[in-house]
Amino acid sequence: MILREFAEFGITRYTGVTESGLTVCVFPRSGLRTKHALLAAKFGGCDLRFSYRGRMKEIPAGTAHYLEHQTFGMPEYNAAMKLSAAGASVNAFTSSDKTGYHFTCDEGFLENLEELITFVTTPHYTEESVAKERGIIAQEIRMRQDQPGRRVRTELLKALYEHHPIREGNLGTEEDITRVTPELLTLCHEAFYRPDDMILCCAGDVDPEAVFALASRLLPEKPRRKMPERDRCGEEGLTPVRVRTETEMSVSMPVFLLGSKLTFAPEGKDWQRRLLLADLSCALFLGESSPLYASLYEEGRINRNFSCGVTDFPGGAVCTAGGRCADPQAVLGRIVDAAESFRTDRETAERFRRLQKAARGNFIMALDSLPGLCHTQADGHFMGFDGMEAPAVLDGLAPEEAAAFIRETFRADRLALSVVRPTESGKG
Amino acid sequence: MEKITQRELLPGIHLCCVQTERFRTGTFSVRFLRPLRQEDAAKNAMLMNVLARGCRAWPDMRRLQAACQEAYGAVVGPELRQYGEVLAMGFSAAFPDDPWLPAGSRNLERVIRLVSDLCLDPDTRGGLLRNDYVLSERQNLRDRILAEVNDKRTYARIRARALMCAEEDYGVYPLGSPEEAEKITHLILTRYDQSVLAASPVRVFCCSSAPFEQVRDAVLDAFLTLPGGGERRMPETEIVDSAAVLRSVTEYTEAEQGNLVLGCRLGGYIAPQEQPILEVFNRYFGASHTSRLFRTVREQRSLCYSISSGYDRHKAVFSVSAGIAFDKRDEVMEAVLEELDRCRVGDLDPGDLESACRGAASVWRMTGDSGSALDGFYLGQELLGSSARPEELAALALEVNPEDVVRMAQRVQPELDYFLRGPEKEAET
Repeated sequence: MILREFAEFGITRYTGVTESGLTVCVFPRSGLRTKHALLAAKFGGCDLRFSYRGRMKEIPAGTAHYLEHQTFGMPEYNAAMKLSAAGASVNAFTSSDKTGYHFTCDEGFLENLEELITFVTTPHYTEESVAKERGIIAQEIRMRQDQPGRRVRTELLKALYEHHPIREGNLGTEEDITRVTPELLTLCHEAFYRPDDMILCCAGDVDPEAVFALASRLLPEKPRRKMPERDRCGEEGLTPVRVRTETEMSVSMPVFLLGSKLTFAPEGKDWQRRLLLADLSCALFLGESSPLYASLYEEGRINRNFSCGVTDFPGGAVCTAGGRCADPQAVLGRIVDAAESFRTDRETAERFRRLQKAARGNFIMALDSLPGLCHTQADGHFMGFDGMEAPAVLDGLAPEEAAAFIRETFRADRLALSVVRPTESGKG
Repeated sequence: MEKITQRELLPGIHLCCVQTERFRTGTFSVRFLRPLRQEDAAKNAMLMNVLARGCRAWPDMRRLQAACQEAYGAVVGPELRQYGEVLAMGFSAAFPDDPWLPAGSRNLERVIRLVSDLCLDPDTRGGLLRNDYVLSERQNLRDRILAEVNDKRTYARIRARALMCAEEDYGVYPLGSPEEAEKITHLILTRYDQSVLAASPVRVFCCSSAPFEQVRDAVLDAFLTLPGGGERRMPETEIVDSAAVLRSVTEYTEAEQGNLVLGCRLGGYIAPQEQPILEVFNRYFGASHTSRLFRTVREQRSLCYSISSGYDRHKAVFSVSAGIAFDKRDEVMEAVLEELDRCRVGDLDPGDLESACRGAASVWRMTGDSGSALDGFYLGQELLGSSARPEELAALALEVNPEDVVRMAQRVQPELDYFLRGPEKEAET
């Protein structure tokens, strides 16, 4: 394995690739009882069309998530229960670009890791288990439908994109999941849960060589089949499909989210730089230390619930801002006006410097989170960059770039507004 | 290893200091302990938010944020926690610890000063809290209270608690009511602030690489102007020994999914040494992947995506929550009560019980790996009258036996079956 020291942050990282092509990454951290492991496959909610074994496949939205639920089922037992019985806290997630299985424990790490690798790479999907899970997932879908924050985001993405699979959401609909079968799950497992397109990240007081040896023993061979080729419907223009979308729910006051698509760059360091610039620019323009935030807050147009940030997914990213407010359209207007006249002056440059300093501090604090270390590493691995290099990238950003980004991104013709309005009966 | 020092610095003002080199993040908090009461709820919820708007040194949010950014991105914010009928209100801060910053940064002292400025030195007008800040936060509080309905799961839990404990302070909604918020003026809030500072027990927590003496000196220096002299009486929680007759309540909202809450009493005070038993029982019954509720209600019968149990040891109450289809209420409730009965008669799975013991022990052992988890842990223990450390509770959890779990299950007395569901015209029981 290759050792890399990040002396400034007191972090050591071992990385290596096993014979099977699995990338293994370990952050040894002595002195902590907690140990964390994440095994992630590059298969997420956006993977709806792909070419595999010489044929183009189209699969229902929510398939990756369904697979996540079903993968815990082994022929003789349930792996989540087995890990839980060993005292580990186990869970999984499906994002737009990947599916991750992870556990946290303080004892029996290697035994738990063996179970993690074994169950994730063992496909076992039956008619009975798939049918049984459908009701559970349907309840999860309904639970999300009752969350205004999720609804407003889903509708915003539909307003921004015309074809991109991000529109469909990671869970799909109740109708979508009726089309998921054991055969489909087996096919997706074979196509995407392959060691040479997965990453294993571990952090805590663990032995990197032991982790590598275990992964090598459990997954000795490289898959023979060619990797699937993903089709994510190509790049879309920067203007939204619709500029405004409204939904009604039982909420006390309007919940809103406005957003703008970012110009796409190929995965890699350039993409990392672009995302970090977007993050810092959002904080500069709409963060709590910005004049715009202060004036909107003082006028009572926004409250502490307001936030802004960047979400990225395969082939795209969006810059968003939102919260609860009585008049979302007025907030949008103020943002557009302020963006248009945004210039770099002495005060802005000074604020930018402070934000860089704060971002470095936040990076240092984030290193205390073992799951955070593993997840950041996996994110970077699949997107072709190194999350540990973020401080150096941040230092290289300039306020003039941020100002240009703000003027361009928050232009009226680039923005879409999604609003969840109170139903008549739900008004407070 | 960490070094933990707990001292009373001044009458009613305690410092808990954890010195450790393990973290890059320092944790610092100051909390004023208040009784949860209807008449003060809105004031408690509003006060720290008004103070967080600015102080004399940093008179508005922009300048305050600038100060946090200069402290290498320190995250400082108001906080309102609840332990039974005790509210812990104040400020907490997370900041990069000095060993990871350029020499001479003295970030710990900078953050302690910032928090003390917010608590003790507000930007006043004629000695009163700023009227514009009070009016603005009053509106924000009103919005927050009304917005609780947005999150159906949390709202169902809040409603269940308010209904079950309607005659107790525990039933008071910690944010108060919109009507109470509306009555608060800057004069009223200033007086309340003064009484909070003068009469509340104060708990200061710090977890960083700094030794106790350094933290103590910085705290004493920064909080020198805290009013003294008066009695700082500890608020207490009233425990109800036995449950009323089980009643069923249904409420309607616009929703795709129903939220079921079963509220229960634990039949009296939870002694410090009973904590591991309660935790193990909870994990065995409904708070893990190997729990009875997860195995039966979710995995065997596919009745829900989420079902879990939880408790408040300070109030000795226990609850089960589940997100379910509207027509599954009776079936789920029956399954929950059936599983509870199995625990009460000792029909326990030895393997699952062992898992629950190991899980509980593991969580307590890992508490020491997070400054913010230690912060909550030590205050919680103090309010329970316990001096236990996480590793001691972990060791006790491994000793819990089936008889202990049966006795705890027998203490669980269901009192309220609450269901928040989407609209449907026909009447329900």
